[in-house]
Amino acid sequence: MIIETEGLRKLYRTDLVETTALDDVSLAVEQGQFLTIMGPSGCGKSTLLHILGLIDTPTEGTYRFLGEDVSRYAERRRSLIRKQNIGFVFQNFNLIDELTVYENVELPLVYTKIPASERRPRVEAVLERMDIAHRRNHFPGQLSGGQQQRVAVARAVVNQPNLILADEPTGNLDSENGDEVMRILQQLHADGTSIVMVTHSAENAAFSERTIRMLDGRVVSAAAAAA
Amino acid sequence: MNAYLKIALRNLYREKRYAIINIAGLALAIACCLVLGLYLRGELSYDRHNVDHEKIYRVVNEFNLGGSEDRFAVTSPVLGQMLTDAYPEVEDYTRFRPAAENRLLLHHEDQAYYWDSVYFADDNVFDVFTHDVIYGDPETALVDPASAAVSESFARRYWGDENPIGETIATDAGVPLTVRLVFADLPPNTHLKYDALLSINYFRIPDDTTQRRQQLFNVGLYTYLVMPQDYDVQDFAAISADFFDKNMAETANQLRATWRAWIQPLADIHLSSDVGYDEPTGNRYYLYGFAAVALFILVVACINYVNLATARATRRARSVGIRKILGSGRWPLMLQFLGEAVLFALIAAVVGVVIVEVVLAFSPVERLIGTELRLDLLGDPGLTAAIVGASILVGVLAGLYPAVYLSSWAPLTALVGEGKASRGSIRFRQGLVLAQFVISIAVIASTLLMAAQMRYVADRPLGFEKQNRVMITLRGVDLLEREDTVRNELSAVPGVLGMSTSASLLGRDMPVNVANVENDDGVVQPTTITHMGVGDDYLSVMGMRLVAGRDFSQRLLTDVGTTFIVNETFAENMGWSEPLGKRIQLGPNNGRVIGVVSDFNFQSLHTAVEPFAIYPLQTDFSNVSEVNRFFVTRWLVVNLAGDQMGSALRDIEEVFRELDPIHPFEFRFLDDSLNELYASEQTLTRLIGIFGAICVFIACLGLFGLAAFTTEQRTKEIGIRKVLGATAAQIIWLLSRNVLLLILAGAVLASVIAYLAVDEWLAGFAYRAPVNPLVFGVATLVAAAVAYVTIALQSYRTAHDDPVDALRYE
Repeated sequence: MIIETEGLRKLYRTDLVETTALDDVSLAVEQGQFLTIMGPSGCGKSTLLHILGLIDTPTEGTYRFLGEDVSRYAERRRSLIRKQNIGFVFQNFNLIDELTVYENVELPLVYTKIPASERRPRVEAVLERMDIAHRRNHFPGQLSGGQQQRVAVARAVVNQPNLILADEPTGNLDSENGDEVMRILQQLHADGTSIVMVTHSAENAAFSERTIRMLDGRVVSAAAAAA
Repeated sequence: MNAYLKIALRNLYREKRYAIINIAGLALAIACCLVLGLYLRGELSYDRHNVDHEKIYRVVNEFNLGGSEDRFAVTSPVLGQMLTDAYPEVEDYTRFRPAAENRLLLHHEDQAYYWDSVYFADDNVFDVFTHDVIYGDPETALVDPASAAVSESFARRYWGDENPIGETIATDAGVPLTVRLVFADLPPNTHLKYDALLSINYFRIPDDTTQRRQQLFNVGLYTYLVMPQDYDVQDFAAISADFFDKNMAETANQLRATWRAWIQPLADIHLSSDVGYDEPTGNRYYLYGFAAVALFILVVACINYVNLATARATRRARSVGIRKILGSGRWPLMLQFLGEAVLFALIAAVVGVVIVEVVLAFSPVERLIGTELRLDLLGDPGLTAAIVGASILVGVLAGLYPAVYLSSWAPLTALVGEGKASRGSIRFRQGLVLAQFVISIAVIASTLLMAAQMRYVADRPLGFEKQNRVMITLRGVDLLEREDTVRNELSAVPGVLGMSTSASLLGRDMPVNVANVENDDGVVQPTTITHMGVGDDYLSVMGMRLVAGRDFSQRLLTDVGTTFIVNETFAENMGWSEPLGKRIQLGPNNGRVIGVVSDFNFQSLHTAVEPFAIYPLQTDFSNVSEVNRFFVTRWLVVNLAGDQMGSALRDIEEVFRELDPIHPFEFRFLDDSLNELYASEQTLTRLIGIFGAICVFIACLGLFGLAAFTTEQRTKEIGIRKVLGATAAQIIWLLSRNVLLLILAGAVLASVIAYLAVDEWLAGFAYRAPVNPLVFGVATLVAAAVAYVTIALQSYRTAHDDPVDALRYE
């Protein structure tokens, strides 16, 4: 198992209200699996994805990543696991505006202290693979949405992570570019990468092996689809 | 490192407006600090160009006669020799004796120029003090009594670029002095400045001890001692006491006097000396004031950086969040933000240096500050290193809080919190804006208060007329003996309303002596008084008012040497019930009080009026020695009609050219001469005013940037409000309201600070302008108006735009 959660709860408290974003979520994802999480806005999909990606912590419950209970780890240790194992793809790309395409993709390798000589061929290879190499010296602002998302995916995979977390990866793209991104994810999955994707689109969900539905912070149904 | 620099430069380019505001503010602040720093460096390094400055001390002394203490920078001509003979600690001595009471005229062939500072000096002066010798042998230059050493400027004036060694110059007495040495002009930060030195061997020190002792009570020249390295100045007290007992006690007991001397380290004289008859010295407290202003300006500029950087934090939140998600730790992010701040500061330093170069080249800043400033980065690596080091420090200080703040965000907060600043950070920014305006308002209010005092000093009735009074120097007995001719000739000049003579100039150092004065009980008591001899009509020409008795009479020759007119303070201090007829004995003058004049300020307004006596000047010069005949000087004061000033002065010059052809005509206006008494205060007021304005400008620069940011952040809100019917004025009020409230709050604190600071400054004046509370209101209003206009300028466009644009903005 790459992901195992048990009874995950996430509460948001303000002075007046307490909101339950996740309620008793237990979930297991096997190595190499492609899982889609679906559900209406505000059902807790993104919160779950953030917890799975170790950028947020659960209020209750346990989360085992690669067999290790990480639910109470401090940011420093979570950061370590994150940069070595997880790649992120966001709906709004989240590229750094002041860095070029090349530098954006290179960044995870810099943070995992890969020597410069080794970084260059790896970045170049992944840029080629995403068909964006010709734009390596451009800034994100100079690219189309589809190109930006290809850069974001390139950045997510350059470190060869075990797990890719994709939060509405095609949400800001037209159908043609959206399909392109989904084909890339499918290819990564075929190469053995585990993927957890949040989406509204049933069409995109069809690319995955397994889909779960959420409502009001709970997992309400789990269904497996043929890959 | 390289990558950080690249990103910082890209950010700078991407956000040009932000960069310009920050760099402009920091550059201006650094330029101000640099100018003030150069000034402070000059002030703090006085006399340090002397290689042996740590071994050189000036002896100063205090006489206590009849209960009144007088401290003099000048000492007896024999003191140095006697100390060197008797105490082995005193390794050597050298002396400077002013060559003339006021300027000395020196002739060479048909050229004659007045020189402000010429001294007789001992022949070892070039051993003790460091000079860059251009021509001549310093060992022998001043040995011969008829020799002179002159500065480079002096030599150039008479001989151009030629080597003047062996040439001669002459005083009015006609004695030729041979130029034996040319030294490079002294640096401006030297407490004792001179253009030429003449040999003091002209005046011999008697060999006989009794004769020497008789001279110990006459003071008139500066004595410098060479002491062992690391000598403790406190140890000199024992020497002083021993010297007094052995050489002066006997005479002193008869005079009921005591004496003590102490020594001042050469480099401390400029800022730490407070004795009379001294060269102009600096004021340590003004230096503190300047340093504080420089620091304030820098703080205001740093606050701009902190405010703009943290306000923009939300913009960079995403980049911080993504970097953290991708695995960046906190330190690299902090380093990145700190590095950016340092880069800003370094660019600002370069711009600041350029500003200073331009300002020094094209503006009267040196005249304003009253000293020469030099910025030589290549020739002064220490200064360059200090500028770079200080800039890095400024960058770190300005960048520290933003770096800590920006890098502290948890990755998710950074991502989802985009566009929202925390309440704490907003409060912090408001606190900083408050601090900026407290500083700005305090500086504005201080400037206004100081300017009010300067106006007060200029306008306050002094007890005599200072307008349209021209002072002309009468040099030499030959001319003074023809005073009647001078008076007759000048009386014929149209525009001349009256004239008189005096031995001293109002506002300048005047003789202070102990006189024997009769009290109400008929007992004579020693009393310290300031006094001045005057010619006929002095009181009427100066517009002074007699409150009792009569003026001196021209017809009664018996008035000379036998009559005094005293001021009211004198009469009050003596407790006289009837001043007229009281006996006074002062030097050769022995007579009675014939009149009381209303108090007038014969000194600057720093000092309250003290007892003062005037008496008729001697007109008999038969006792004056042959040499001294040339050096006796008096002042002629002429009252001119204001509307005929120019023509009258031309006519007067014509008269003097005929009556006294050897002396180039020189005059000065009394009011100008009196204004010079407040030169340092005027400089301080002007500088605080200028730097205060810069301070306000930098604070507004920051406000401009902050307003731009707030407007941008609230664009959507502005659009909605406008759709709902808000006017442009309401929108601008909405955006400026908080800042205006902050300014109001800051004004209270600033007023207290300004009041306390200026009160301290005013303590130096015996006469002070009352503090007008309106000043604080005006200062606040100025700051608020400038701030409001700044914000209005920035938000005007958004407030006037079509609301749809604002709503579409994202």
